[in-house]
Amino acid sequence: MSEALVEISGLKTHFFTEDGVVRAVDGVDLSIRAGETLGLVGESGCGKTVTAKSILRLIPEPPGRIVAGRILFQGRDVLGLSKKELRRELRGNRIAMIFQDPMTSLNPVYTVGNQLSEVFRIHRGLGRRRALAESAAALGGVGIASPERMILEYPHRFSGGMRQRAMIAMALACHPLLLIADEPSTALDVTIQAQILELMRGLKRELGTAILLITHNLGVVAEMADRIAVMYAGHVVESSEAMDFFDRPLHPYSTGLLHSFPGRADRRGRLTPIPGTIPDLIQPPPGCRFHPRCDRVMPRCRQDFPPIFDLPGGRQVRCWLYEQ
Amino acid sequence: MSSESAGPILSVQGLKKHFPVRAGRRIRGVRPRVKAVDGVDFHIMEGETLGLVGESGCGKTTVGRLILRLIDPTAGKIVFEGRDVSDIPTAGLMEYRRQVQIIFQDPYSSLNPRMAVGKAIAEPLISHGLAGKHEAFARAMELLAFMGLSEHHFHRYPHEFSGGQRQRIGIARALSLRPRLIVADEPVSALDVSIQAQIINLLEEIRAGFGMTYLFISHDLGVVRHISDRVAVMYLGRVVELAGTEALFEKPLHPYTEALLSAVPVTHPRERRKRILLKGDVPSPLGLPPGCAFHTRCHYAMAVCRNQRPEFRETEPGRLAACHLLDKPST
Amino acid sequence: MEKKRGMVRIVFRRLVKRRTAAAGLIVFVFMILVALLADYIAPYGPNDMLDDMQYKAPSAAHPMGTDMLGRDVLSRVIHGSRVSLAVGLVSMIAASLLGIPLGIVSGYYGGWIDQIFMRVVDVLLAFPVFLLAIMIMVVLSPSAANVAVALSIVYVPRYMRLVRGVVLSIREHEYIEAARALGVRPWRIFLFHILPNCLAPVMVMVTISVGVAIIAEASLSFLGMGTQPPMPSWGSDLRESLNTMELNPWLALFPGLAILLTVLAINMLGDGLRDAIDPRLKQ
Repeated sequence: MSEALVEISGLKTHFFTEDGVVRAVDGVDLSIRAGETLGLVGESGCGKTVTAKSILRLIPEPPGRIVAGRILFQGRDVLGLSKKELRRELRGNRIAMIFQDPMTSLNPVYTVGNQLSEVFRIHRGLGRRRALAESAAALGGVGIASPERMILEYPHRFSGGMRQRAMIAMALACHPLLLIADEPSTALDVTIQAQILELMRGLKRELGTAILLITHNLGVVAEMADRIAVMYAGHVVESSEAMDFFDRPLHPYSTGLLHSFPGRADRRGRLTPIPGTIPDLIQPPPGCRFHPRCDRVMPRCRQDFPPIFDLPGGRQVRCWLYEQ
Repeated sequence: MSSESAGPILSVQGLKKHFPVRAGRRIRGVRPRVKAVDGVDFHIMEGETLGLVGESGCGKTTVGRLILRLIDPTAGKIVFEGRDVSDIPTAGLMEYRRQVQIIFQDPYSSLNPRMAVGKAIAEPLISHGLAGKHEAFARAMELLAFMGLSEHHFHRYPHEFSGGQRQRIGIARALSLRPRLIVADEPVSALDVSIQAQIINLLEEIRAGFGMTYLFISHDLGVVRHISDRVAVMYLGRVVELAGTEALFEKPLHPYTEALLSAVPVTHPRERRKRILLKGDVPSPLGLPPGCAFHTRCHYAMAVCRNQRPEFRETEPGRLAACHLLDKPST
Repeated sequence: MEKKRGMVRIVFRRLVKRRTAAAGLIVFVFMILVALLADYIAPYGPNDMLDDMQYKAPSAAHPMGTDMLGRDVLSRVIHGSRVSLAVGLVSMIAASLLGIPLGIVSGYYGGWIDQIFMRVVDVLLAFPVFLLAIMIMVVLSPSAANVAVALSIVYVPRYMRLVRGVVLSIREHEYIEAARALGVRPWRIFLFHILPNCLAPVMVMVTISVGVAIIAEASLSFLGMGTQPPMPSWGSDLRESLNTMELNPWLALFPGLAILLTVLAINMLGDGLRDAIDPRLKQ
């Protein structure tokens, strides 16, 4: 069994606001093996983006703060690194991140070539001209036509799909070991999304990069993920191999998600949505945070917060139903 | 289908909307225009849901706005219950607005942040002179209850509600005038999956309970497949295919429809498949390619596709499409 | 039905949480009370000339001293607040009452109305506030009331421009489109949909421009174009203190301090208001 590339234990990231402490991530354990694609799934407010940003320590210091936990990358403690080491070794170098909205993730006042070569200059110490040449090659590698011409263009001349490709090129420039992709295709049209996902798959095959794929779209994880972790209200509630997850989801929330998905449900039947709404992260409900919406709730769920139970096949679930 | 005497409740013929580009240079004396909608034909029968799908820039949102007369068509006709509403004056427009309403995509910007939600729901009734203040408020509270919200939400402001709740308020507002047809413009795209399901069920309940007719605009094929009776696919301002939902999804006729369906992510890892990947990006609606709008990305493009725009016509009973591949050789 | 939970209450709570804003509010309210109750709290009338009491330095009997005519400066400052505050508030409220509807119409309809209005506004905005005010006062005869008129005129284009900008941005918001789609009549759209969403920046501008107006009135009076003696006004009192300022500094000090404190308080209040209204409400 390959060693874990990323090992997160007991991560707690809280936001200290005027209205109270928002416990966005409240005790998360995750691990990512080298070369694997982990799909981190959940709806808005579940804490998946905050978890990802915590890995690179991109949490804005007021009002947020990583209050507890340990993040190991290749065995080294990320939270203990100095800012300089973090910047030089990890960010953009061994761990890269791409974001959701391609329209705002590139700086409009610099050419795309300029922004791409920055990565080469900083992390690989290349001079300007070589960096530009590498940038053109990188753009070509992500399927952008006429890359030598396109590096001289500004972002507004790039379409959404092209910008996302440019972002991917930037992220993969230094052959990172881990790519964190936060909703990489959500803002794109479905045919462009298919192209981008295909691109990511191809690059992953070529470079062996591990991917932390964050999304609320179950279809995307069905396409891309080797393993899946489901988050709800700041915790991981289920984690398994992708095939097992879709065959037989364990946690009631997972089941609810899969059944709310039109396209899976029998056509013309009523969808079975999960009743209620996500809980307040400042004052979450006692016991299991999902219990107010759970159709299989038991008295224990209302009082005691469930721990993670290990099940055969490498599956884990945070639910009293699975207590042995 | 049903007898011809019950005609469609809404019929759109040759609808076009061209936006002049202000700062554009004239080419041979003609100012370039964005042909957002470039000749669209379809009809909707009462009580049915027509899904309108396409990717960004295809013009589906513009079609919705045109039907509501929020913008004026450049050419073509919009016929509602047999009456041409394409350019009626304001008085007639008010009456039309009681019959045809809209639900917006973004629950965060479609409600006035400075107006209590109950008043927002009651406002259309008051403004049309259909009810006095008390009556209108009472009806608003009924609608709130129907949406699963409670009476004391009447005085609250939009920011106090979640996205799903705001969308319900928007729907309540659209229902206040008891319209016959609702244009739903991406009503669930901005919502989380579990909330989407709630809203979709709500729309179906309304359909069953009120006999509502929907034009359901969306880019999400899964949702459209679930809720629509028939589906129209748009590309660059034109309808390229129109058919019954199942027929379309089982056997798409137009190459774009085929590619679109192929691009939808699978629902189970076991179903991972090879896809039809389109080359390149969507061309700009400013410089539409001559001939068929899709030919630049079409794997099956022939010479005629480059020169001649295909006609949108019935290729099989109950199925319409615009593609030269489907033209039967004349016998 | 449950009581309204207005934006007003939320904003107010946020406002007083910040110390500078709260301080500004207190001082401002204090000044207004002083102006309203002037007759009751001033020890003397503003024009009571006391025998043999000219040019007396501040003392227990006259905490701010007396001026060249033996008038109690404290009483003059207290009464002077009326003019300053009245001119400041009235002029800005009048300017906004005119500027807001014009700005809404200009922004909502666009087209040639907007073009014409904005060209006129551009011309007027080319003149600095004070210069334009002087130009208008040259035409009108000097008096406190006319200063209010002049300042109103100067500020109408500024409110127009502000409101037009807000309207341009909210015009595209879906709730405006929704109102049109629902068949809400234009005047209702203006009154219930556009206006309430303009009020926030307008209120901030009103608060801050009152401070500017107070200084403008004082300056115009200082130049002799505004409030005429013997009417008490901080500006004209400052003017009259010019000659003997070296010998009797208190004659300039106290009116000057009054202006300073009031405008400072208003600015702090305005800043606080802007922060309290701004993005926090859009959660």
